[in-house]
Amino acid sequence: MKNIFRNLRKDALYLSHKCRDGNLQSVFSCLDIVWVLYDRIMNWSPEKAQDADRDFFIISKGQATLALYPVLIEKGFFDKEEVASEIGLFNSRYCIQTDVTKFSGGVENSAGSLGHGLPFAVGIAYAGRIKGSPSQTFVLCGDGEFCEGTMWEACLFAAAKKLDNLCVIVDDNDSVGAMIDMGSMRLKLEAFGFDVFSVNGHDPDALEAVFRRAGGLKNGRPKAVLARTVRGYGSPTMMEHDIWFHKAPDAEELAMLEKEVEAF
Amino acid sequence: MKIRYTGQKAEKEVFQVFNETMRQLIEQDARVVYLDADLMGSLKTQELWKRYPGNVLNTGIQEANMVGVACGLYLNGFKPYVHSFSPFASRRVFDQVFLSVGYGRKSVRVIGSDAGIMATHNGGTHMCFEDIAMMRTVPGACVVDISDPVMCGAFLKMTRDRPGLTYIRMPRRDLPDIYPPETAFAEGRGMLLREGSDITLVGCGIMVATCLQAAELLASDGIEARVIDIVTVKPLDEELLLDSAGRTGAVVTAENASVLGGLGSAVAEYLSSVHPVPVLKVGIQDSFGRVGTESFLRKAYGLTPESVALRAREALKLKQAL
Repeated sequence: MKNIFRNLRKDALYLSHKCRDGNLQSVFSCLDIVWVLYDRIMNWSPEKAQDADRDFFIISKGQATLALYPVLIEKGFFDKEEVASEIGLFNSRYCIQTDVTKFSGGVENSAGSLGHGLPFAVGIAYAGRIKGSPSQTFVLCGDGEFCEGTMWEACLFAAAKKLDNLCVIVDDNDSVGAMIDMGSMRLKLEAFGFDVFSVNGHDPDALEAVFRRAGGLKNGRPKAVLARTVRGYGSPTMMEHDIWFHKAPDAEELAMLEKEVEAF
Repeated sequence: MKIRYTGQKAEKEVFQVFNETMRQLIEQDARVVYLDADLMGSLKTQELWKRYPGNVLNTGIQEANMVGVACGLYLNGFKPYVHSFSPFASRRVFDQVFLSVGYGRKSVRVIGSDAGIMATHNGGTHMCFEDIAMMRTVPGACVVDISDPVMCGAFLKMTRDRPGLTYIRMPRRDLPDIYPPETAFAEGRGMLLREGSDITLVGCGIMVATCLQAAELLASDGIEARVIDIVTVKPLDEELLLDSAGRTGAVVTAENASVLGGLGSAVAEYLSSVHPVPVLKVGIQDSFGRVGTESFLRKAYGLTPESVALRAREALKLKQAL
């Protein structure tokens, strides 16, 4: 793993430790995707955070906020020590679910209740279409989130409105398998009218290539990227033990997990 | 204030005013968009859709996604109005309305049509009595129950840029004319429609005209009722309520909605903390909807001038016993 991906994970560990909360398994599963989008794909920078033609990144899977903060810290939008000292405090701007109410720009939506982000992203993409904007909208969803009916309403709408400026990323860390047999996401999304791509969600170059391919296909079909990911990727302990779905590291665990990430 | 209520049906139906107003709004401001979850036939907006395909959108029967899409449209520069029948615009999509719109601080106008008994022959599945109670709990929301077509046009226009949730509750037809054209409305400002010193009748929506009729019945017995159209159930016109409670010492509320959490609750919650007087509530008493005409349902649920007058007499007795 390249250093940047280690650093992002260490930032996430540190923030989770500071706020004594977090869904680190879920965060580690999508961190590489979020970084590749912000670093290599999206038309976005701190100066463009309010630009009408910026690319949009929406977190639909609510538990992944600790993946967004490290990326926005590395990109210079947030100050790491400020986030670390305030996260989780009473009335803090920063918490483990994104909270749009306390930011102007940078954080585009409030995630928390599942099944909200995709309809919201579809509205943004549809607005971009009406305006003739070159902007693209990326929305990160969990595989488990596709149990929510609004996800499929939004897919129906996106395909019907030919939103090829929309890229739906499914962070497929096999959460849904424990709940219900989802069958083939690829077949389902193709049947809904999406161009569907599969990729290793922890391979930055492969992710970049697939996002470029998807973004270049202006054929009137929305895009879906099925990213195969591993919960807790970057820490063997987290990959093995599901207790890290919702647990914050204490000082000792923080040191141990940081070491694991360093060695990964 | 000067009103033009005669008891006759309005010159224009609410759906006509809705169509005319949305057309004006779209022509004045290209960022205005109207979304409907396949009830354009009910609101007769198909022509509007044909004429302004870039501003009018049929999402299909998917109200929750429609609300989410409206929020995204707002973030990306548009001014969305969404419509469905009131149960599907409120109860069915409450999480979207509460979080995506309210908590997310998006400027979205949700229009719930044919609320309460105005769902008539659609019956219990479509008869939404609980929307006022739910929508009131969204912080920052404006909840208006339309009593007259002029008010409908005015609120569609004046809330175009209002931040947060605006819930416009309206029948599609069969309202009377109450207000002269060009009447100025404001959020949180009730309308004093009739002076009276014995009792205050506070109505919203279709019950405003009923309160005016009840005031006539009471006047024939020598009881002078002050009649208020509260206009917005949230925010409440507290000044007008406090003044009226002070002048008359007794209040009857009347709403085409559940008395659990609706207008009557809002009025009682407020007055009990600043100027306790008897507040009796006319409305739906913890019941589901049923099938019938408006006049049948008014009798079935006690939403008649006679019911309001009866409650007024009871309130007067309570006042005298104090």
